[in-house]
Amino acid sequence: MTTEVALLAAIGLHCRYGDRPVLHDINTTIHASELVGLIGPNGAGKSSLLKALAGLLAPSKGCVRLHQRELGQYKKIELARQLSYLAQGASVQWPLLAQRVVELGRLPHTGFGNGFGHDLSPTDRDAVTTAMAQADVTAFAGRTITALSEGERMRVMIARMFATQAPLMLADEPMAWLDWYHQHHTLELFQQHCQRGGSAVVVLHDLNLAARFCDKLVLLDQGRIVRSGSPQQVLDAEVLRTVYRMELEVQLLDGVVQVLPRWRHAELPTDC
Amino acid sequence: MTATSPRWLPRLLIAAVPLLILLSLSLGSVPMPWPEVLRDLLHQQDTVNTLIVTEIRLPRALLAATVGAVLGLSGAALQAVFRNPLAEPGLLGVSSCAALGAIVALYYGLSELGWFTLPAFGIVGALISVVSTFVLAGRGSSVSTLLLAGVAINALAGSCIALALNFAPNPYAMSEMVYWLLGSFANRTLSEFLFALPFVAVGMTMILSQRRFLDGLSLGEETAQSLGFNVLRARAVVVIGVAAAVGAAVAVSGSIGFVGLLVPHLMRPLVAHEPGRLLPISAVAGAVFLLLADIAVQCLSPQQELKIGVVTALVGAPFFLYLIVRLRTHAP
Repeated sequence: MTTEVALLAAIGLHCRYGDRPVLHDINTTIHASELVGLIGPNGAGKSSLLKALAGLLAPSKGCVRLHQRELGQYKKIELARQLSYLAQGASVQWPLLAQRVVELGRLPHTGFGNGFGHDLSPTDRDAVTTAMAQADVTAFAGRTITALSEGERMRVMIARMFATQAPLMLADEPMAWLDWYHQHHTLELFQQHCQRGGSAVVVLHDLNLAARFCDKLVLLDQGRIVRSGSPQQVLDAEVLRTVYRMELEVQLLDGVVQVLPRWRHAELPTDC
Repeated sequence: MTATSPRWLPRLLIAAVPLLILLSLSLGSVPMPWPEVLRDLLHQQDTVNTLIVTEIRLPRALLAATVGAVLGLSGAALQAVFRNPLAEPGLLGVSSCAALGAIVALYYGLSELGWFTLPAFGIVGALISVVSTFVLAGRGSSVSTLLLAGVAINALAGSCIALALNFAPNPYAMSEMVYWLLGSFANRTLSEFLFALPFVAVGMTMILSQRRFLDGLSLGEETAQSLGFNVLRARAVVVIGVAAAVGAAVAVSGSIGFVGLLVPHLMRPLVAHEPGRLLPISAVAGAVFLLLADIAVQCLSPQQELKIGVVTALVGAPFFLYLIVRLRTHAP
């Protein structure tokens, strides 16, 4: 196995919501052991790209390939074991116990037919316990999800994603609502996952976190990839200035690129 | 805070079903000398008493239990599918279209062709409502679109029923329709019940087969899909299952409201709010609820038949209002 072979690849990917195009000609690859950060301003298409990579948004042109097979050719259950997806916002409809929410992450393994509730094999139970310990939510196991704070709930959802033990993880803003400690903690979890041979794509807003933890960054703007590569290559002051419409300073801290926002540019005239 | 529920309560509910059926069999204007009746039943001798039990009281009790189970289960399933605690079989227009189908049978005198016309028209009406809901909302529609389609179909079915009542050929036909609309388990035959049973069984099986999907759906449609579910297909299985079961049930009993709303709500804390585990217990509790209600109806007014649909609405409507107020105050 060489790392040259792409695990997941978007090839000439175009996507649209109804008539509105959201992604144009996306070409990118995710390799094994790679932690990829998707960055870009609001509405750049980060979430759409993540959904397309997870097979949740059908491409209007082009394709996404996992192990060189198009996503559409996989059975849904096979795909669910290969890649797990964390939706933005991570809402839960009913006041379920946190433990049960994490157990839902085992659904691709337990199958959908058997039993009415807690029919987990020892393997499933181990995976749930490990994931809850990893995401630091063991203490919430017996609490209802609606009684938790937003950040705590997000950590439960992260545990849910890790419980699936899929090699590929796609997470949409997992850092939302997390405190600094847990932001670093969670990104370290993704890093460890990648060190064990898995890979992860994470939508991030914090460029400094992205620079510190990600192996590769993909900068999106208006549905197109503006630049992708190592954090040093992508976090270029000139590129960021135009994409984010911010005056900013890029400097090295502990050998890591860090971006310091200075001020925002005046409103650009809207081109009607 | 752990949501432990009394473990004996589900068992009590299950045990209550046969007991209540037996109680219902012994209730009525004629007192039953049970040793005698049992002996006659065993020797297959038809006496007045055995006829009363098998032809009048048994269909009534079985129907109350079955319709209750269907409505409880369907309410729980629809609430999970729509991720909305106010969803109910009436919501998709299934109940009202089944009622419309049965009204058409009554209006055109088709119900005189045979006992099977009424249930058959009810099921056809329910299936039409589901198909048109899907046509109106389209494939891959969002939950709110589907809900709106249900509202539209409900309104249409309601006005068609009103139209049918308007043009009733004679006062007798009209009173028959109105009585039927109120919903009751009285004076139904065993064959009416048996005709509905296969549809009810298939529908309930379809719903129960999707319980893991309903669990997964509590995390949202996209997450459910990412967990390996075919959301469109699984949702269609649930909704068609509801149509078949509710269509057949409503056709025999008339429309009985609010059971699908009330029962799942009362049961939800017992299963830690898990949609999958809520299904079977809601079915059992629905059966218990309607058996109790029917027994109450018989005890309260043995002379003037009190319609069970009226009773459930009297209990259910205030509960519905309470839920709306609570949802509004707890809204984020």
